[in-house]
Amino acid sequence: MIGIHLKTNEFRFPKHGYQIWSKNSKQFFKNGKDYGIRKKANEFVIYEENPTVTLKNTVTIELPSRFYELDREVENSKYILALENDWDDEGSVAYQEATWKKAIQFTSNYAKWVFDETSRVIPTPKIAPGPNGSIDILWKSPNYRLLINIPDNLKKQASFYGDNYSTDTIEGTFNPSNFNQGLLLTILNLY
Amino acid sequence: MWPVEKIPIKSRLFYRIHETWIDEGEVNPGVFQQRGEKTKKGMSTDWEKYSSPQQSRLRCKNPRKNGVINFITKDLRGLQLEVIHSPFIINEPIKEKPWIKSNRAHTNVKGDVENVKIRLQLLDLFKWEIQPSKPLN
Repeated sequence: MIGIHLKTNEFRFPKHGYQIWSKNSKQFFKNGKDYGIRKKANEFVIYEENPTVTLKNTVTIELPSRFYELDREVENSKYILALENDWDDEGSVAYQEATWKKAIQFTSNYAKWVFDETSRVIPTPKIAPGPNGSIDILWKSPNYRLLINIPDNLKKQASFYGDNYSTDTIEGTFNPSNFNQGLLLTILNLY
Repeated sequence: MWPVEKIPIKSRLFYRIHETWIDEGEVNPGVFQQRGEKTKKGMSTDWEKYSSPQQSRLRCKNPRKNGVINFITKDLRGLQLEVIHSPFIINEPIKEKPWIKSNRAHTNVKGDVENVKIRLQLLDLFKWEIQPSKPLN
């Protein structure tokens, strides 16, 4: 639930539908259609549905609506699963569903954890094909960059490296399902 | 057989990049990886002494879908990667891969190329020779 002042704020509506209610709970709009009586009001309360990412009709992740951009990136990354063996004509292998799921579940869980701990929404990373069937998760800004690699062998550790394009660096390996999440927060917060 | 030569530190090495590795104009670091097995394993590049970027682009199945970048040998060695001239001769065309032909320019980059730190550093080092969007002629 988010309160906004329509006169001063811009709001990007979530793709999964929305409802706008006036403060005294008289409905105005639903999914873009106009319902009820128009009324001058500066303040609205917006109820949003949480976006979900589904694969083969199964919900893979569900994110709070504030992670709209991350949800969109995860949706976009589904193209990785459509890449077939030798998709780059250089012998790159196809990507396993389990690897992709591990990558997006790690990313969404991490985003939620950071928000719970700090009330901050992490920048949206790029989810991209990695070498040898692995998946890369890349944060890149003018001030810092962080690359996490989720291997195709789910028993293997994920690896990460980040820096501020200068002397401050962070690197190591971790289990994506169970690790010190504050470790990565360091670089995302510091720079 | 061509002799294996020592590659000078200032030499450019050309590396093909398939368009699928490019997202919103940026190269994904996953493109940097070694191929092949055992002694032939390495990131395949072409040495400028025996290849132009255009020739390098044509050494693949779909040149129209590939661009070419370059690395400077010194930069790669600075990352503790080995740069080894690896020319090869194909006597009989490979049925499944007829575009693979003898290549005197072929050079393997060996080492921990897939390491996350190395791949990010490789992103800093390359320069475009030919964008994938450029027409062949």
